[in-house]
Amino acid sequence: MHGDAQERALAFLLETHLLSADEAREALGVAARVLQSGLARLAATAAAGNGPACAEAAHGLKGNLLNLGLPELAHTAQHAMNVARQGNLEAALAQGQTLALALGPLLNTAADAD
Amino acid sequence: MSFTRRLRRLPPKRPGRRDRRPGLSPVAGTARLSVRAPDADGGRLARLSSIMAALDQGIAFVSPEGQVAEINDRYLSWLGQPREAVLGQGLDALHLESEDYQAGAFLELFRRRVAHAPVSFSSRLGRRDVTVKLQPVLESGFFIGLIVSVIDVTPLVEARLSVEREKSFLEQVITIAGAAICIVNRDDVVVTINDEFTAITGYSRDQALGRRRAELLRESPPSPCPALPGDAAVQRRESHILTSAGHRLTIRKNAAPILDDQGRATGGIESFVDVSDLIRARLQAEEASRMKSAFLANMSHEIRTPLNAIMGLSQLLLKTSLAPEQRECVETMRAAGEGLLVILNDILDFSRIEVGRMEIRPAPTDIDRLLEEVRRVMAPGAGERGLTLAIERDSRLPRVLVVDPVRLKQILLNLLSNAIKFTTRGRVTLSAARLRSHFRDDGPVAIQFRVRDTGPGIAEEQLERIFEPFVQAEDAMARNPGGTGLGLSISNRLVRLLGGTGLEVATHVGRGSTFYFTLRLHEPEAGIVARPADLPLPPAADFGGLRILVAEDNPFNRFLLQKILEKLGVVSMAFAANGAEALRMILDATSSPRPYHVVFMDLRMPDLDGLEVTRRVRQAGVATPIVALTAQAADDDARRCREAGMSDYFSKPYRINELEAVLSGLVSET
Repeated sequence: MHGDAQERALAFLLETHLLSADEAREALGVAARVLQSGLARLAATAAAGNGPACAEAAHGLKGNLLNLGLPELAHTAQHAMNVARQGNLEAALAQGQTLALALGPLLNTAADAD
Repeated sequence: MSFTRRLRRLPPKRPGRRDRRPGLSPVAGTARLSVRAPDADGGRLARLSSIMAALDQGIAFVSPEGQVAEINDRYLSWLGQPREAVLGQGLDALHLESEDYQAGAFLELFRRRVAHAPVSFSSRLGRRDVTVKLQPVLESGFFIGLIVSVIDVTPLVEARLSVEREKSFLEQVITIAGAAICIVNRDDVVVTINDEFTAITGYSRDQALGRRRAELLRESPPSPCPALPGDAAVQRRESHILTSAGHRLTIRKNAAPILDDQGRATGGIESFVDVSDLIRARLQAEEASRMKSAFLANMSHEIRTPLNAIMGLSQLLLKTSLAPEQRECVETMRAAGEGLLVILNDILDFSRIEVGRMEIRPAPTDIDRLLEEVRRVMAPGAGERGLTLAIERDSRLPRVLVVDPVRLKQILLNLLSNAIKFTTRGRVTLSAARLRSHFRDDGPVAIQFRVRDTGPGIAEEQLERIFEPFVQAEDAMARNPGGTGLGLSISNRLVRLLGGTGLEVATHVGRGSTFYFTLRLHEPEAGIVARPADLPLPPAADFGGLRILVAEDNPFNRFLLQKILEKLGVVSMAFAANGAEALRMILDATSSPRPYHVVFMDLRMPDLDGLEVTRRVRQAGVATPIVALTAQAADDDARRCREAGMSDYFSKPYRINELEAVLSGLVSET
């Protein structure tokens, strides 16, 4: 099912945003790098005990995931944001790991592109 | 010879004797005195008799023995008696009844012939109110008779009673008025208050009367004395006063001068009610409404996100190999999720309309395109039910008209959805026609949209209520028990918000129904021309001339927005990766010959966030439209954006149609 996140994002970019195939692939590459960066920031800020920054990172992820047509993952990011705001950074970190797992193949797009 | 002297010649102590001298016949009355002998006394007597006859008051002379010796015609007419019936009679014949103590005492003195001082009193003579004066006549210290003078004061008494009745009526009105009333004189000193005034202010009459109104009520802001000359119209205002206990109240009052018949102010009157509780309740209601809206927006966000997840995951599951029973379960789950989403959207829309927060965004709209989009959405559903879905377009209809495309589409989709839902065979037709009676070169175009079905029709008794919220026809309940009953109500209200008079329906049981509404829409101003229909669904306007700044720190969101804008034909775009850069670029561009037409601004950016950038832009006097981009969906966000000076707002994911609507609005304004 993880692979489906990538497929669904691709379909969303094609059908909803009306991107061409090349544009959609390029967009996925950009998205992958941004998501990787966001997840890393979420993990780092959680580890540093910085709740507001962690919530901010989660919020950025949420916006990206919504624009990728992945609302269920956006919901996970929202949850990470909520718990980070409450100071529960361990839970926020766990939500980040869930996202990383779900987005695995998509994130690999960045590595492939590099 | 005086009247009294003439009488003095009467022999004393001869009660009942009448003056039988010529010319003094009681029957002839005083008028005959004027023709008596022209000697000196006779002349005076004649003049006095004429005066007596001419007087408006009744005059009688009573002898010391208490007999009426003379009386004028006026008095006789009031008594309703002939002269001979009165002359020689006792005082009773003059009807001088009175309960006045002084009158009784005087008559007692008169009987004893020792009355000296005159007395006046009020009495009744028949239906008349009279003032009686009894004047003893003395000559050389001897009591020689009594003059009875009677003045008819009926008009005066009636006028006084009328004033008293009016005053009593006004006092009743003031007493029972549901408002505090305070009457002041020209010096703004309180002269009258009512019980309600005491109830509201805590000041009793003793405490209020005689004090200056301004000092008593300590009104804020102070109001001028209502008796001041000037506009005589009622002045209405809302202000604050302090009660005797020092509590601050909000009052809503009317004040006006009191004018006399010459139009001069003799005082002033003001009435007021305590609206403190009302205002408090209104503020609480507004706060409750705001909280309800915020709650609904938050709930929509909190519910829709997991709901989307449920539906998305259901879709994914359906793509996997499932056992038939599992597939059925998942399909049911997905369908239930969709139904829930529809209900949720209905409730949110209805709530927004109820609290006046449904924003209508008119924009040049390609009507052909809109009708085609609607057809595409509904065609699969109609096909599944074996129905024909037809679109009929009037060839006289302009291609592009200014209307909120989102709301118009929502109405048409709702009507078509209902029609398809309740029609088991036949066809459903959506038509858009220009009304013949509204052909004019200038002014709006009247378009009637009709959705006609060959369904069961609606019974007459159900027609009256179908546009009410939460009402469903019996048949609808049977077919769609999970519905909210809000669809038609929302559509009806949306039609009104778009400027129409509401939904109408024509129906025949067993033959079908037609729901229709009319909108008067303007064509875009010259220069806004729809692009040729080189695509199935062409954009409604040309955005090639727009210059746009995208302020977004997230590279993916920035990239995506760039691509979407390119799809819409935007050529000139600039990008800022943080708030400070965005601020600098906006201000620089504003002072250049090529300012931006619009800025898309992410709310959360490093250093300066989008709200702060917007505030500074507005402080700099720059009016460039700024559209907020956010991943939130709370109404509170919309409010904060508006307060910061943003022109529009939408949440992620970006929707090409929403972006297009924003740009269309801009094009129509440029």
